[in-house]
Amino acid sequence: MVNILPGEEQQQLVESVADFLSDQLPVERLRSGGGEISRENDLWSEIIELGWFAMSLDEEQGGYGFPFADEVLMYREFGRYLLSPTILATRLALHAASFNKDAELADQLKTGKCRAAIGLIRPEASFGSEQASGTFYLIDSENIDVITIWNENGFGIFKREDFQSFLNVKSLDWSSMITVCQAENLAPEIWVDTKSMPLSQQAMILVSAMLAGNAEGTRDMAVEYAKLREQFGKPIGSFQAIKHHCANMAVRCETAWAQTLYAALALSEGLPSAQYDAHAARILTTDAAIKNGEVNIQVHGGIGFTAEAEPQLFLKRAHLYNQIGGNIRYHQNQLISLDNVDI
Amino acid sequence: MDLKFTAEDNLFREQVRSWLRDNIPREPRPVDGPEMRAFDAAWQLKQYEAGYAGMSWPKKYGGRDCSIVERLIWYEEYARAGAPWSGCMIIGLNHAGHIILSNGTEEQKEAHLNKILRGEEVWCQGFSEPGAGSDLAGLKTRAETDGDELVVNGTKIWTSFSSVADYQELLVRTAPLATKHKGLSCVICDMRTPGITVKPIETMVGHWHFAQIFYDDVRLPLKNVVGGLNNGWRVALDTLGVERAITCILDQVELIHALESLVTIAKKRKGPDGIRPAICDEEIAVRLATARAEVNALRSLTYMTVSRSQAGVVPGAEGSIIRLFYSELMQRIRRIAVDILGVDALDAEVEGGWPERYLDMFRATIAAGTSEIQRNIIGEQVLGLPR
Repeated sequence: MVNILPGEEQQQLVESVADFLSDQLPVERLRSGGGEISRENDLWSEIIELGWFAMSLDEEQGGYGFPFADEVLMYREFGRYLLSPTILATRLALHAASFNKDAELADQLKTGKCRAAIGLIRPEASFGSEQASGTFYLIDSENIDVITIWNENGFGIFKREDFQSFLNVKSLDWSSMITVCQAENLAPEIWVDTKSMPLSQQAMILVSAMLAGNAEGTRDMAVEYAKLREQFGKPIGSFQAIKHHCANMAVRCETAWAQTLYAALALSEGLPSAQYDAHAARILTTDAAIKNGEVNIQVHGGIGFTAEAEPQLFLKRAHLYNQIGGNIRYHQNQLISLDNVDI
Repeated sequence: MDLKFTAEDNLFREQVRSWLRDNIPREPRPVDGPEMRAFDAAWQLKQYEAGYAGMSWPKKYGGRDCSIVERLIWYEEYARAGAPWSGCMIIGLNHAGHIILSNGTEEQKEAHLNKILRGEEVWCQGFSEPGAGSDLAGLKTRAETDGDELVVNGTKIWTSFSSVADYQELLVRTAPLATKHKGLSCVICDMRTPGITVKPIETMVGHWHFAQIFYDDVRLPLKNVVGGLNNGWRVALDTLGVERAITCILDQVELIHALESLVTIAKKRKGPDGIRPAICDEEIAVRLATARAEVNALRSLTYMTVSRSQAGVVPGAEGSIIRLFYSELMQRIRRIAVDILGVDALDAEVEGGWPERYLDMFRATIAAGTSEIQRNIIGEQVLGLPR
């Protein structure tokens, strides 16, 4: 049976996640902005209780053994509610620690005693299994113990305290704290190379899911606004220009999400096209999130340009997510260098 | 959720793959005239005799009536094998046959369906008019009842294959103009009926099979009406959601092959700087990479639609999303080809005719619902925006 759609149980899982998020972490929480760490931190113990980090970890390793596709569905909701990528960092670190049989670190991550955040590689920095050197960006890393950084070679967990010269920049994304720092021949605490475990492909697809959720958020916001806002005696959504903006958003969402689902299943089933399909998903979801974010501002007119309104929150988050694990240009370069194995 | 094909599916895939490999015509398809029709008819008959015609049609009329997944597999393998497109058989197979199957009388079904599957009948469509394109419901070709006949007067345009067609699914006005789409009927028109004049139209590509058709007191039997008088709008514009979605996989696999052949060309030919291969030009590389992502997404979209159909969800306006995406993607890919070829694109036949294919693709966002109309449909029927 070929079926890339979520079944009933999966829909229930999605609903329970969405209910929690709309209740505890609604998008309005980010309106104050100004670089404060978002409220997820306050809810960390509850999130741990919900088992979100260990969803797709094998049961033998202390996880819940859910299919990867289920996790992808959850991350779409995380994206829709503009969650900090810290949740992704913790999930990835947990899987890496478990794979490396570091039971102590795995346990600390699972119970919240050790906390992880995302690190980004600046272009001239070097990054590999032996060391990291140069300039890095850390996202929401205050009170964080370990940093997760990866590229096509592999995935590394580093101790935050081993980085130097921390400096908080004025973040483009007001909902996040961006810290620039230096590394000098920094050895990872844990290293997993992509050949032994598809962690970077999983990361690619999970980020894609977050971008997809983000893109759907702006599509829905624009459509909602187009139905309500009236000018010239009618809802602006009845004017073709606005209608077509919304239609374009819908097309971007549908194509990007279908590809994300397919990539998730291709990876789970170990299909030869998984890497290729994952890059494809990452490219399309990024394009969807950023373009939809931009058009959503446009559809909102003057209001869209204000700090108080939500369109700017989504757009800025989209740009943040885009940089995780390499931005869209990186993935385009990767995709053109691969062979299409389905031919 | 899974992408697993069963053992039976895989066996079926092997069977069709080897049959196609052994049986597809190797000579090039003639693009015009009686040779073209003969080629298309012969290939269609061959498929019919092997049991591969009318994959979703009832066995009673010669169809195979196989499962959705088997149809998906058939179209995937068909495209992988590089089998020729159905050519002038396409309207009979993809549209006219379906509407007769869903709405026709038993007499109409017996008269046409099997012949369509055997490649013995060629069909065309008579929908658009010079004054009725996007606003199709405003069409004016009228049919007046006279005893047991309809007398047709008017004109149709953009009809493909009308010069080789035996029959036409003709949309005519049988009630006053004010009733718009409620006054239309779909009638089977024998193209040999006296009073029909076919005037070919040359396209910007130089060939295709467009024509304008003039109807001068053309008498058609009333019993040729399909689905009842004044019911033509619903009958003729049946979106054929499920089958449309599945056959899209054929287009998608073909597009993957076309794109990959373009990537090969880009690796082989010198690019804009005259030194490195075209693929080293970053702008070309990025556009090719994005096209690769989009072509795979098209496949995923089709799988999603198939999944929905299997779950019993009748495909509706979301079909417009795939159609719009596909048509614009095809155009983008053809445009990349022109940019890769650089000055050589001035030779319309270079590299198997990519530049001509670029010109040919302007119709993709115009025919069968312009992209502007598709966006209106998506906005209104999928997103619920007001008219």
